[in-house]
Amino acid sequence: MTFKVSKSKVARFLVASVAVSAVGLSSANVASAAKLGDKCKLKDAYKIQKVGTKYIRCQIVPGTSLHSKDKKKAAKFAWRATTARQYVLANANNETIRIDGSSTVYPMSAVAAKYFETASKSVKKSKGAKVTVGFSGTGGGFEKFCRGETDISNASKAISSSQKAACEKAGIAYTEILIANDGLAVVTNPSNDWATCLTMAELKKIWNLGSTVKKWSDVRAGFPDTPIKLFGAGTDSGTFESFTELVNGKGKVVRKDGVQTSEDDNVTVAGVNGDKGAMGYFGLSYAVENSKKVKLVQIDKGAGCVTPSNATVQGGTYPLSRPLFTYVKNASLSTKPAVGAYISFWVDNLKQISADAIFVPLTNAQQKILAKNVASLAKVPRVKGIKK
Amino acid sequence: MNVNADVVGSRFAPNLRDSTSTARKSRDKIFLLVLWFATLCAVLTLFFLILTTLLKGAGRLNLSLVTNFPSPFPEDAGIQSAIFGSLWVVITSGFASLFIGLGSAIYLEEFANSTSRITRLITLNIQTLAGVPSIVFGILGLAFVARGWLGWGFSVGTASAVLTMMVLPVVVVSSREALKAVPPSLREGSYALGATKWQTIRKQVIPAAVPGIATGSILGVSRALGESAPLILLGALAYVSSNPSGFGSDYTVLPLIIMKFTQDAQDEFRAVGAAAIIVLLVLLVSLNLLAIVIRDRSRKSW
Repeated sequence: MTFKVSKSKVARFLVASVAVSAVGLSSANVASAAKLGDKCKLKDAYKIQKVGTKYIRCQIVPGTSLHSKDKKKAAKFAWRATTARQYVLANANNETIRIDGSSTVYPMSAVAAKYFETASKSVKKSKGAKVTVGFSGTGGGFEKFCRGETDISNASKAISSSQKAACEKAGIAYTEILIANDGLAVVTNPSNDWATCLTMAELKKIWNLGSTVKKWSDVRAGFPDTPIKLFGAGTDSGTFESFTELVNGKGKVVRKDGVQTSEDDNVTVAGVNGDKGAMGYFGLSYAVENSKKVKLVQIDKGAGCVTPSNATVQGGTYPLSRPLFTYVKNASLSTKPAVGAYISFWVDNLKQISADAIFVPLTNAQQKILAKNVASLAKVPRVKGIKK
Repeated sequence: MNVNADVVGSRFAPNLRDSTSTARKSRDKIFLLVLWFATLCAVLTLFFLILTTLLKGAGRLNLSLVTNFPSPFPEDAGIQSAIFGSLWVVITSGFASLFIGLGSAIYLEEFANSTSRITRLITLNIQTLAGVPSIVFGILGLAFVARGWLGWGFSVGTASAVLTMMVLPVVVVSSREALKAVPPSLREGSYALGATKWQTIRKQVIPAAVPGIATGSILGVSRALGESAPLILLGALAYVSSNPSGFGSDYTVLPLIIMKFTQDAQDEFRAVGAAAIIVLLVLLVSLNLLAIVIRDRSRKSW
């Protein structure tokens, strides 16, 4: 008898939770009539509405930023005029776009995904396109991509010859898209007042295979003999591969002793912050976000010391720069109109997406090439009555 | 005689002549202190962890956390799809492992010849499986469930199947122990009244073993709820803006979204991560409470 009571309770609990999961908690879309210039919220960012013959979109107000520490410049959103093309782009069918790959590119990909989904949901009463983004790393992403399991793969490093071969073997044709620039920042403890600028040769001396550097005085005469403590990126990451290639001349080659590796950049930040002689590296945006906890080191490749910044990375004067890519499966472009629409949407709004995800944007020249390449590649879906 | 008793007493029994001495009592107190210290260490660590997480996540612990979907912006980032993803995976794998696990436990305990080599081999295997690291189940699932001949892809179904495999050994072992603990007199009484073996098991043995079975399986399910390692391999995502709608859906789970949030460069995201940890803890505690309630409600004394 007692058993029966508890059984029915369990059943009731489970039925209740399944019922809740079926109903969901999502609030209904607010479809209020907005006017040009009206305020809107981050939640609705990139929602598109048709007002008469014009199109308006909820966008960030220029001069404000999602990442501003200054409260006056904190992000504000308002309905601003947009083009019919954006409306057409957003009209993606009820399809799922699967994205995976580099965790470095992930934030940008997720920003683009969020904006695209919001735009897509606002156009029709249909569910709109659905985008899913994973973060299994450049290598892990290609592993799935070349089996045809994803539509788009993000990469913090151009596809390698072995990954190419895997894709070819599986008959996966793809298109490479340069999506952003990235700088690798070398960071030290804020109280490190000697290593403000390091040469590439010195970096190689510290990080290369067989390095005997144990103290800062081993790096350059005149540095104190504080023990040097190294923090590196996880060996499966594109960041690790790029850094070793740029510094040591060969990818994945690094000293075997004395480097603490972690997939989590926060561990590196905490480690470098906690030890006076520590040194680490990661993506520039990560370093900018944590500029109070770690100090950025200038890098000299023979042409003087260069501070890592958007401008020096874009201009190519900062030696530890790298391009970031996204790879699109060609077959998905033709079978899923949403994939092409998503890529076009991303490229059209690249500047804002880069800024919101704190990425180093493409230069104007790079962007022009990109726009041209993408225009030939993605067929923008059409909506009745609207011409591109 | 007197001497003899003294020798026996000093060697094998507590020294009664010392019974009033303070030395024995102080030793007793020291032992108690050591035990207290050990308990304190465990409790304080847990308390400290929960407190720091609470302090960090308190600011983000509101309704929007559970109603919003994951977002690249900390202001409107939520964990709705992760909560439902976790519930889907854990409830389905919980039912599947209970069904299969209880079945095999009944077979092994009640029907199988416990001295036969095959039974012993199976028992050994199950006990070994209970100690296999979860990532191994992830690799197995990737090769045979997500890809390979099942080919379910990176979906709720795959995750649920792999977690079932992971939880199953725990359920089998604990269910067997629970069945073993049912007094033989209960079975014999049932047989004496003319019940068949199946009637005895269904009407007497299983109801009597419910507390143990429930505790074991809910603990197993709790383990599945906190598991992230195999699911990283099995395509749990970071950005999913809809809840799972079936076994074929894309999904994410709480531990994974917590990992993504806490690894983020922005401090605000780490606060969301901490708030998500609290939600996960609440879910875990309520599961364990459920186990306690079931155990207490169905407990019998003979």
